[in-house]
Amino acid sequence: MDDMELKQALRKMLQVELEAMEYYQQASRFMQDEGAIYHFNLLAQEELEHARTFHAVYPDDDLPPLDDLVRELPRDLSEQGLVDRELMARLTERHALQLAIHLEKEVAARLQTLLESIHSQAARTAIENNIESTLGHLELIRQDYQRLYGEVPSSGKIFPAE
Amino acid sequence: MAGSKQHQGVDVGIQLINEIKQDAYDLILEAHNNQLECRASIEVRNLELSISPAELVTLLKSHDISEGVDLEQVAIFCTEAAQGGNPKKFLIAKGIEPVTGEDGWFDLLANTGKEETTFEEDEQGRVDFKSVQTFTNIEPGQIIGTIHPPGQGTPGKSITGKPLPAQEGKPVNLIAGDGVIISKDGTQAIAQKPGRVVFENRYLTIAEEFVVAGDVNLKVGNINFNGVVDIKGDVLDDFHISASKGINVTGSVGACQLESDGPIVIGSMAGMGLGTIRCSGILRAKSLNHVTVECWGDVIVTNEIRNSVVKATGRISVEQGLIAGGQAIALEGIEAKIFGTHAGTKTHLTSGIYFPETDRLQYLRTRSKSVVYQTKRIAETLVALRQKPLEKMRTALREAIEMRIDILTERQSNLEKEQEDLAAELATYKTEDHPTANPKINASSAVREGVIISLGETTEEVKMERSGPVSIIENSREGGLRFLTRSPLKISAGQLERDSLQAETEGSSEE
Repeated sequence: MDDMELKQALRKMLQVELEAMEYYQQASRFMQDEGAIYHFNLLAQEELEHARTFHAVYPDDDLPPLDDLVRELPRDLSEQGLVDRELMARLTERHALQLAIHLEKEVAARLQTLLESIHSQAARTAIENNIESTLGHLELIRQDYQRLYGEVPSSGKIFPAE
Repeated sequence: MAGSKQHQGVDVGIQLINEIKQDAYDLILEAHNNQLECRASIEVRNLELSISPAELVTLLKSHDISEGVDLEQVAIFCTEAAQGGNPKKFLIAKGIEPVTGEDGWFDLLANTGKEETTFEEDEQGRVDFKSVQTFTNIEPGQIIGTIHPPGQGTPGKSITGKPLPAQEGKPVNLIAGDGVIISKDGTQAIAQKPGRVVFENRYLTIAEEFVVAGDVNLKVGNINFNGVVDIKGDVLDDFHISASKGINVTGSVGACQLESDGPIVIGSMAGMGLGTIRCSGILRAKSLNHVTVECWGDVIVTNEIRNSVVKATGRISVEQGLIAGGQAIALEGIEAKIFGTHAGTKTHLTSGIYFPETDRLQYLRTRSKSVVYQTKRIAETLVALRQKPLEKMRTALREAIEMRIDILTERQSNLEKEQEDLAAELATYKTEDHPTANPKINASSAVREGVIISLGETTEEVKMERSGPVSIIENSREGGLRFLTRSPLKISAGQLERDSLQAETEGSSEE
């Protein structure tokens, strides 16, 4: 039972990381600002590395190889309305970092929600570690923002005015 | 056996084995069903002296009927006889019926497109409703089916133990049609040409054409075909059609992607800035609006090209219509009735350029700039990250920084390698010689304000409308452009310039 919950939790976390990676990757395709593209490409790679760690600790061999899971990701989030290409084209580096902070917070919130439904100790530990890791990642992005703009990122509206 | 008589066969398919007439009973033994059954009939007059099972079995043995004797049935027969039942045509021995061999069959290994579509959900529960296509794209030499030979069957045995041969099954009735051959050993059907499999009325063929009778919509889905795609209706927005030999669309095309290694013929296309066409061969259209075109051939449009980016390795021709907005880049000349609009819409015309080369150069430069930028950013970021006091940080942040340092270090190394490759290619970059290059533009009616013309080394914007018919070439002597009396595109810019220079020389020498 414990093992099953752990496997389910790891699969879920793997899915969350790969979805985040896919978002960053596809959003960067529509961006014009070089700085924004730079950050989003880096963040995409970091999410992939997070996914790789969960894949590596999965305690069974019923999980497809990571490359196959990446290949199966939807190829056009803009078609599904999940990436607004016009908005992405207008984003500056500053806005991109603000967006990334917002996204990482969302990932942490999703993981917290997942934690609430998990009973197995092993699974709880894995999720708690992931939440901690996500918050560490979030802190790194904040520090990046602070280094570049000399101020703490605001938690208000992040998108440029229409 | 006392009182036995033998008669010849009584009814069709039935053969008399023996007839015994005794005081106590009359017994007839017959072979039925082509020697597969032995049936007995008896008329008993003295029940106490009726035939016993042992006697009956011995009698059967004397006629070589032993293997298939059903002793239970023999006992029942004799019991009924002894009770005055006088059983008739009672089955007492059976042979083994031969089994006809299985018929040969054909196992088709490719989908023909008539199969039902099954939509599969991905891990996130999403379904791609445009992945409807079920036929298999076939390549020459591909095995498209296996022919299974008919079975030999299983021989049987008559009631006397004589072998009864089995009939072989029927061979599969398959006719290899156009584009299909059968292997020498008769076991495989092999495609001789690319396309898709059609299997109807025993005929197996390869069709090089895929016809859509109506529109390309969610029922049809995206198309990827190793042949010619012929669409009788329209192509709705957001579909992708790829065909190795050509695409024909009778109706109009929305914001789609059309791709072919052959020619493409369409009605009008409203690309909305997202539609693209790539083809090797002629592109023919009635009109193009907000479309991006890359054509390894000529682009021939009947009515107009508006706000599009059209690149051709041949010529671009809208002889009866206009080119307005966007860009037109051709190697062998551009012609239209009108260029530009009264509103002065910027329309860039470039002729004499082989676009794959200029696109490559543009890519190298842009990419090189981007790599330099990224390398600089990474170097700055690594300096900042390495200065952080990692030992004082909480674990999660320290691990995030360490991961980032690793990623950036690897990326830096890859970018440095890429920059070397880009620099090497840029250093040795040169354009090939293109003998058909023709830096010439023909306007039969007008060239409006806002049209920007690039020919050779010259780029000029038309500040005041020019009336046609006019041919425009570069003035190699004084720079700028020459506006000459219109001549067909096949009279090259080079020829016109030589003629112009000669005329100028002769003119000045006369002076």
